[in-house]
Amino acid sequence: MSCAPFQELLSAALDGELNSAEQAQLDQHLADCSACRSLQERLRRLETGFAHLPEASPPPLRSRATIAPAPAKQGSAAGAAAIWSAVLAAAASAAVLFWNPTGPAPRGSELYFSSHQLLQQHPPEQRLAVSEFRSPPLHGKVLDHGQLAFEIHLDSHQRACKDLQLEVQYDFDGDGQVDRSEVYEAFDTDDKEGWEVYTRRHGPVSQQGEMKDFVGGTLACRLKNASGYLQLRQGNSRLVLPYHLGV
Amino acid sequence: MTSVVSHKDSPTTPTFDEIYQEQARYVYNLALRMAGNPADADDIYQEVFLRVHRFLNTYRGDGLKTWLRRITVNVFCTQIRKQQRETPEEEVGSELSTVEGEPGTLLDAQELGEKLAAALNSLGTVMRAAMILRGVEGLSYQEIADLLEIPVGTVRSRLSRARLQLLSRLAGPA
Repeated sequence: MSCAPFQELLSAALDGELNSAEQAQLDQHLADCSACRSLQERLRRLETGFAHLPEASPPPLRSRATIAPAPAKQGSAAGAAAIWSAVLAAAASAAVLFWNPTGPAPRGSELYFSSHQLLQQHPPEQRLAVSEFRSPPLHGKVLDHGQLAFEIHLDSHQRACKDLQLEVQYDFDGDGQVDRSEVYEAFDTDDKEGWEVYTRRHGPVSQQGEMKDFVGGTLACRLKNASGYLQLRQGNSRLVLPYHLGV
Repeated sequence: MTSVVSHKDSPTTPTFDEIYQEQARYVYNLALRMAGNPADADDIYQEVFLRVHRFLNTYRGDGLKTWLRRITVNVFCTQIRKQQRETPEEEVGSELSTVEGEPGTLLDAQELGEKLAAALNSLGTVMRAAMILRGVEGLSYQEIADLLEIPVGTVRSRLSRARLQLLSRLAGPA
């Protein structure tokens, strides 16, 4: 009789996955077949190897910075705060600085900054490891008379960071070419502990290219001149793009 | 005072930092064994921690390893589906006649582990993943079937074929 059908039974028996009828069938065959008894022994020995597979050390997490729509409208900020947990008493007062209180609320779609590099807890002398943020592919129509707004919650701790500038680059069609760029007024952080908020106070100090609809393109944000142990508070730091995204 | 300090939602919810510190090695090695090469393993591992970060607030505290394993296998499956669209995997048959010999008799445990790791890399991707989920993770056929989204019968037949191929590799010239 061919042993082939019993190979699968031997394997399943090793895993305790045979029903009683199959087990009886296998036992009967094993009683008569020395080749399958030998195979059973070799399979048992093979199993011991799984407990001794070599282990490798994990590589560090890559610097992954994104700007993306919040995963859930209500829970996003709270969720991020819970994860990042760098909540300060100063944050409450910083929140008052939202946008320009005298102007209209910005219109458009929100994108939140997220940086995984902050997990690594860089030593103070190290430059900000992530200063560029890139969006996933975007689709959407530009709003008439809309303008980009942003609030970036930062803390440079006890070292002031001078001339920080937000540069926004638009690649509307995803061809890798920058179709429009904007550079905003510089911001200086202070040398005290506590969150500060970099927002748009005036229009861009320089800009090139026209606004167009996004057709699978991306948005890149760069914090120029970022230095020192500059922390960016996630869950609050965001852009409001003058776009109706997702159409 | 502004360092990224530990903060807990509840006693059962670990922080991202805690998960990363304690489980990075587990996740990476699971990814490495299933993927069979460091480059794909690194991609899976990086994506797993992105998802952990993104979805930590959905973790319900019901078994961290189970949660991480599910994410890792999901990312792995997404990756192999993408790769299989590009280069469909060939399934290699195996015969009893190829497993003659006495593999492992002269190997100590560490040596067997190293040779087994190399032999696992010769398996097809899904077969290897099923073998790792059974041999290393100790999952039942039903659990493996659920994770890999294949029928239980397929799990059983693939594990059998995987073992015969492993024996064949271990019996052959190194």
